[in-house]
This record gives sequence, C-alpha cells and structure tokens, in this order.
Amino acid sequence: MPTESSCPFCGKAVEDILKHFVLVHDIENLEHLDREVKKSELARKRQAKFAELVKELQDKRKKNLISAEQYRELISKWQAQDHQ
Amino acid sequence: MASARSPVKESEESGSSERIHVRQLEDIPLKQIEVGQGNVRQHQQMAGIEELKVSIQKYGLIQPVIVIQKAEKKYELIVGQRRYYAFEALGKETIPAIIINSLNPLTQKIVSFGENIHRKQLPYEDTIAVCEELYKRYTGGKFERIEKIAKELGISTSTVTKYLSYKLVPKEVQKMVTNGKLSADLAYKVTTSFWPNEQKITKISNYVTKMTKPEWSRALDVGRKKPDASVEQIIQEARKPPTSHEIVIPVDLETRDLLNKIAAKRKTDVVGLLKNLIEDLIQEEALA
Repeated sequence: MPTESSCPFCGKAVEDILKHFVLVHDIENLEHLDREVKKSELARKRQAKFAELVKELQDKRKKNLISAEQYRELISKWQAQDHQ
Repeated sequence: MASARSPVKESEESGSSERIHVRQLEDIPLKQIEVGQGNVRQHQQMAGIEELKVSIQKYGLIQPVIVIQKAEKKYELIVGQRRYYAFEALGKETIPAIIINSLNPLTQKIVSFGENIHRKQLPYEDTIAVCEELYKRYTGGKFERIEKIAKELGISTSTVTKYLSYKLVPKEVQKMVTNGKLSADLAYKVTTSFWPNEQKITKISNYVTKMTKPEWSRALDVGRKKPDASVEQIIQEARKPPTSHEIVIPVDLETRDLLNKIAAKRKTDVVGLLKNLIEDLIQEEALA
C-alpha cells in the first residue's frame, strides 16, 4: 500500500521516503540524515524570521517610519548576523 | 548392554554412522543424471533460477553438485537441484559434479538436507553491506551504479535501491531485524509509514512482531491515514476486525464510461450507484 510522506528537503510527497533520500538527496546513513534534517529545519526557521523582518520593515516604510536607506541598512545588518 | 543391531540397520535408522567418501570430481553429461528422491528440495526448485543462471554465466559454477553413481553412465543427483536446472536451462551439456559412494536412502536425505539447510540465504545485513561496498566502489551516476550492482549480483535494480535505503531504518529497529524478531521488509515498511517519528517507528515495530499480517497491515494503513494518531490508537484500530469488505470488479472502458454516465444521471458516483444496486438486490432476495 503506497504511503506518502513529505520530504523535509524538497517538500515533495513521495511514496518511499527512504529510497527518495538515497536517490535524490544522496543521504549516506542515519547520522547524515539527522544532520541534513537539522540543517534544513534551521534554514526554514531563518527564512521565516527573515520574511517576518521584511514584512515588518515594509510596513514601517509604508507608514514612513523609516527611510529607504534605513530599510536597506537594516536588511543588510540582519543578513550579516548569524541567525543559526 | 551390547547392541544386537547390524551396522547396516543402525545406519539406516540413525543415518549418521554411514560415511561419505568422495570418489572423484568430474564433468558429467546432464543426460546421465536424474534427480533422485533423496534430494530434499521438493518445493520451489525453480525459485531464483534466473539469478543463478546469471551468476553461472558470469562466474561459472562455484560449487559442484553431488551425485551417486547408480550404474555405468547413470547418476542420481543428491545435492544441487537448482544448479542442475540452471545448467539445463542454459543449454549446457555437462555439469561439474562430485561423485560420492552409494548411500542408503535415509542418509541421502540427511546429506541433502544438511547441504540445503547450511546454504541459507545470505543474511540481509551482509547483502546490504555488499551493495554498499559496490555502490561506493563503482563510478558513474547513481542509477548507473545501481544498474551495475543489480547486474553483478543478479538482482533487480529496485531490490538494490531498497538494500541501499535499509541503512535509514532506525538503529533500534535494525537490531530487531538482526535478532530475528522482525523481517527486514516489515521494518522497512514500518519506517516508511511512520517517518520521521522515530519513537513511533520503534514502538510500532515492537507491536507488529506480535501481530498477524492483516493486523499489522491495518496498523500501517491507520498510520498513513491518521498521521497524528497515537501508537495506542493505531494498535487499537489495527486489532479491530475490519468493518467493511472491498470488492474489486474489473470492467472494460466502455462499461466504465456507461457507469459514469448512469451515476451522473442519478446524481451519485459509481461506488454509490453500485452500492444502491447491491442493496436493492439483497432486499429483493430477502422478499422473495
């Protein structure tokens, strides 16, 4: 019976998740899988945080609370920081 | 107390006191060999014959068959039935054979059984290790390497891929497979059904060892349909007998289209339409 799982790396719904890890993402063993899953979770969290910041700064821009220059500066500052 | 039995009688009963003497090793024409009753492999003689043929074609016969000489140019096969059939299927005329001394029927059976029982299928961990080793050694793309392994080992590419993926089964569950508590195939199915919840995979694996096939099949199904269900809920549902029975009726495309049209006309789907027809039929029969 086919079982569909969502891949934590590419988001695809696949029937055989283990086969998919080996064939598509070159996962070598359980430790490697664990590392990659953690990495992808961190990346997702960072992406969500960034999206939140962009939305907040865009709102401030619309309300003229910050200038375009300040907007760019704040974005660059956030990107330079380690958010891991 | 001294035994009054003759040595022959004793050997027939215990089958252990008769010694095997290897007389010679030679290539014997297949036509001169007949498969004897002494060969214990009475079922699935042709199982895996294709893989065996590939291996023989590639490397030759690693282990000769064992025969007993019955008369001049007449031999009885004791061990190596599948190898014999593989040679026959490959159109070979002779087969390397070890000729042993004549044995009583019981000893023949014991020798054949011993040979077959000791030549068990390679444990799955060893097969996985071989696949991984070859996968690392071979060059080329992933699929190319998998195809090479499949060809080398005489197994399908999907089997190779499955073996390569087994290493992602949680370690606790792998231990259960190594200890013989769970089959490798079921461990794989449980893992793919409940991934990424490792705790759930391990718990369910422990439960399925005590379940019947329909029960564990239902457990996997529940896991798939209700990913948030707890282990206890899954086990409880799996142990309940099924409340419905699925009937599959193959129909041609024309019938399918007609059924769809009728169902649309009656504002239902094909399943609903057929359910109503079955219920009407049952009612009609009950009234008759």
